[in-house]
Amino acid sequence: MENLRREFGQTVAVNDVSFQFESGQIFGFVGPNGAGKTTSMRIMATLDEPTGGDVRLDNLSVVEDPERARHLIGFVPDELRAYWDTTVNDYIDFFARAYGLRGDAREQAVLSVEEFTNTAGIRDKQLRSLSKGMKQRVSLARALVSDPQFLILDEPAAGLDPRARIELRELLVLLANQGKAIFISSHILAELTEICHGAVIIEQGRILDAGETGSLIGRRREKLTYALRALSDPTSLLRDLLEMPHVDQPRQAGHEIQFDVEGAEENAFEVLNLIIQRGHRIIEFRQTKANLEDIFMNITEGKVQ
Amino acid sequence: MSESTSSPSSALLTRLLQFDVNPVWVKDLRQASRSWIVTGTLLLMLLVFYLISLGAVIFGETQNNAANYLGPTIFGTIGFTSLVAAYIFIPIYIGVRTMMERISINADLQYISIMSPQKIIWGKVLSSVYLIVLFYSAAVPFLVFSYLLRGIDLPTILLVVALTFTLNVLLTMGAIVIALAPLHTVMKILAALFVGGNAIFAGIVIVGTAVADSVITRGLSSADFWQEFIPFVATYLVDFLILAGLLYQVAVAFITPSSANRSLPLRRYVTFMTGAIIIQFLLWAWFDQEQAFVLPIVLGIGAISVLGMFFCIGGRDDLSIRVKRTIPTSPFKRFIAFFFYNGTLSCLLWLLILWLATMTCLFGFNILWDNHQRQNFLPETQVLYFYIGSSLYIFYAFAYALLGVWLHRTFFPKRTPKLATLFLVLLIILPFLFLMIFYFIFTQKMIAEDWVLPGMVINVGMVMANSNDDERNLHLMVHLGSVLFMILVALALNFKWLKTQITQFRPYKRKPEINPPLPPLPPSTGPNNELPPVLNRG
Repeated sequence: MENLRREFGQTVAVNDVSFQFESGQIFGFVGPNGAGKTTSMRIMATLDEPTGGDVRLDNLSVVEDPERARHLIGFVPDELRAYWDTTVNDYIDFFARAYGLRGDAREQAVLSVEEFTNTAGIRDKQLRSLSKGMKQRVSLARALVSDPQFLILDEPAAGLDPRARIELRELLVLLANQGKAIFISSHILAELTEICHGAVIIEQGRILDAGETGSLIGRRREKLTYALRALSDPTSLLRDLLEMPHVDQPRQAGHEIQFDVEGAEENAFEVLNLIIQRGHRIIEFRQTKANLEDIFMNITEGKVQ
Repeated sequence: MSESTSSPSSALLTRLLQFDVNPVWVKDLRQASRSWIVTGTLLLMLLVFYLISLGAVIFGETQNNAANYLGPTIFGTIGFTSLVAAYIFIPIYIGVRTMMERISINADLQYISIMSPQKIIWGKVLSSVYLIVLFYSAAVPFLVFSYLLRGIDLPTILLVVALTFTLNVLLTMGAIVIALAPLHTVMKILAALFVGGNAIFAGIVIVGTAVADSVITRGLSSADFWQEFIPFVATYLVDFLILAGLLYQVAVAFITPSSANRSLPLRRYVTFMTGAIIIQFLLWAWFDQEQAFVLPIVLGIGAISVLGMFFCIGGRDDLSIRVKRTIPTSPFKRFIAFFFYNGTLSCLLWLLILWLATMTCLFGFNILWDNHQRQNFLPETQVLYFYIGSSLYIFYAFAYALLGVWLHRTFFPKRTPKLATLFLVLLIILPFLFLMIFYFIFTQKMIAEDWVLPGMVINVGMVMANSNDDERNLHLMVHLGSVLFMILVALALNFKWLKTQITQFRPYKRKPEINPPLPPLPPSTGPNNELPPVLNRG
């Protein structure tokens, strides 16, 4: 994406956004509602045109050459729209035809995406009778039927139950392993952390930060959070923690006590030593993993345009 | 060598072997076959046909004389019922479905598939035609029944069906155009009610008149068959195809990405269409020795020019890189291409040229007519009335369009260009309205019909209705002078815009890269645990 800009009258929905990633990677697109995620994705999918800038897929411009770029793109919108009076198979078959697949090749492609997305069992059901999770699967099947190199998913996990979310995640990892570039926006940031190679954080149409997930988290963490479990009285442990250097916000979280440690990891070692010296019987001590949600909360202000 | 000679035929053969039914056609028909609305309407129509036939047989007169045959009664009733059902239901059904697919945020993903806009529209037209055939085929057994009851002949039945069918196709294509038009949903509904409602009414009146006055079969006698019937049918078919082609091209232009040169096929088609209309009606006028046949030329092409100006100023000014890449390098070719490429100015000029070319053809025809026919083409007093009077509408539209563009580009450049279209409408209406109101307030009188009000196009109609030839011609010349002055002023006001429009029309040259290209993404992170490829220039 190169200096992408989209204006709606006086409102700048996407403001000079640039980033890039490669095939075989899953890239997350994170931002509050109204940040410009869907607008950017619609431009990438050639559904909308930018006021300025461009999106290039394998050096092919979606602005200058949308027809050719469409060969490379599979777009999964946040909601499966239209065609409620169509069966799953007819719907996927139509898009196979629309992407120029013919005869046996088309039948084969439809069957294979139905199997891959586990929609073969509902192929004769009407779209209107499907659950949200099933609709998302059908939407993914439709996007995959033309075997695109670049997959854009706008909030695909929204409204899905935990099982459907895990299955979708597994499908995406499989697709990335096949060499497809996947660009995904989601509000369920903890899940993105697990599957994304990198992420772009956007607010009010501007990129706040972008990079590989690990470095993004590393860059933005000023404090490390630790969790411990002790056999001793938690109240006295919390009191002791409050008096210790480098420790911030000790709190009880279920059966464990969590606290933040400022500075380097050596400080955590010092804190642990002090706890033991005070006679607390520690049975578990670990650093909690930060995820995109922490980063998101840390750097965004929740502003919308 | 052999490859080059065999390739076209082998390519054709390959295409034939790989022929696949239009995907949109398949999808639309699958949806229609599952739709309870289509099935319900069809069944209701059949029930009505059945009741009409049954009622006519039970209660109708059965004397064996020609005046009381039941055939025409049943045919008329069934024909009218099916006409109303098909004329109203099918365009609404197709139009609503198409509109729902295009509601902006819900844009159907078929429009971002690799199907060409032509293929999508062709699929929609095919499915509409199929649906119309389905409705008409339901009526066929009852029409045959009416034939068996005597009093109506087969040619009449066939011609009525053909006439209603073709009009139905046009109505449905019109519904597709309105559904795809880049307008707000409310505007589309209003357009459908206003334009569609009138078109449906006109269609019913055309068929009704043709049947009631036997216009449709009058020329079937052997004496008139070649002289009257065949030219009429041929003209009707040609005009049907021309109009269907226009609606098709407009619909295609509406769904073509704005980064493409969507003006080219449409303007090329309208230019061809203008030529076809001119040739057709001039031939009619010449061979029938009837000057009135040139009126469809003036009215048709005039309407196209004015409506075209109305719509084209709501478009964008800039040319996409994709369009610029196709601009010819040769100055002559580029000059011609300018009028067929995207752009407000090019569209306005193209429409103006189209009108001037039409007037030139008519003037040439006028001279030819005066030299070879017995009476003059136009009475001497009506020459100005004919040429200047009709041209004034186009000149005024051109002047208002330029002023609308100036108002938008100068005062509201950040707002949608559609605002320029609104200014055009306001410029037509407001000055006349204000003048009328103020005049009435101060004098308690209406504006006299024989007044000349330069700069106000509404006044042109009043001037032309004036029966005093000398005064009328003088007033027309006053209007001509004022509109030419308005055009000059508008051109001067738009000088900067005109210059930009003309200078931007040159072949695309890629600018040398100032920034280095974006670096590729390495497989792992950099030495400082930073990710170098992700750039944020924002």
